[in-house]
Amino acid sequence: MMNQTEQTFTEILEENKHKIYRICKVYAVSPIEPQDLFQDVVIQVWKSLPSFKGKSSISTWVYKIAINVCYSSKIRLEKKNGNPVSLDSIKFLPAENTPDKEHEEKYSALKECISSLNEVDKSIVVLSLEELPYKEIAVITGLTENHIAVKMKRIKKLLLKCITKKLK
Amino acid sequence: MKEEFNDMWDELKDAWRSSSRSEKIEFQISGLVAELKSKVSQFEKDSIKSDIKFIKSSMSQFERDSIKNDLTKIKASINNIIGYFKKKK
Repeated sequence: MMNQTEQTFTEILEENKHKIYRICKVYAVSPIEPQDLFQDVVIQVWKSLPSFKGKSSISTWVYKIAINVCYSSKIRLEKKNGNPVSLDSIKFLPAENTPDKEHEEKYSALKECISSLNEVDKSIVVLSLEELPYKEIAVITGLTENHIAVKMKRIKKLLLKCITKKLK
Repeated sequence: MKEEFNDMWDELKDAWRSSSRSEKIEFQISGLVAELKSKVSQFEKDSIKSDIKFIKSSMSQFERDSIKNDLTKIKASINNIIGYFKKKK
């Protein structure tokens, strides 16, 4: 029988697993696997849940953890300062309905272009692709809404130019 | 032009959303909670261990550099004093 925290934890995971995975995929650069980062995020969500005060929405809180953990785990694993944690109870299986070729090509170009951005711009664009309003992106990044709007205008132009070049 | 720009951005958002569809993520919930309970303390211990190792290695280098700086300053001061007395003679 699960207690209240465990119940909430499982609901958060089920509801947010795909968005967490999308973020991990952007931060994982070979040889780091998105699955390794994903497991680190799950651990951090578990560890942080008792201190969640409800000041932001659960979704914003999860995004904040995912961005911070993926970034710091990537640095830690790149420096070989610690090993990836393996949670046997999480299984990654190939999906039956994979994205079509056109989507895959666009995604691959998008990922490459995002990887050329600095860390702040990267987090802003990732959250924007997740369709978070600037207000929530501001809460996560600590920047003002106006600053984000200005940055996004510039980042979008940069990305679209980079992607168009790659897809030609 | 602006419309084309927005259309392309929307297409990218679609590609972004579908990127997580390449894998199915399944949790064995009861097992996961038990695993987290047992692993989190070990994970924290390992993480603290590696942090201490890192701090120790950084500190020893820092200390070595600091001693080197101090010795250089002491040596320069002694040379100044010796030079001063030599001039006085």
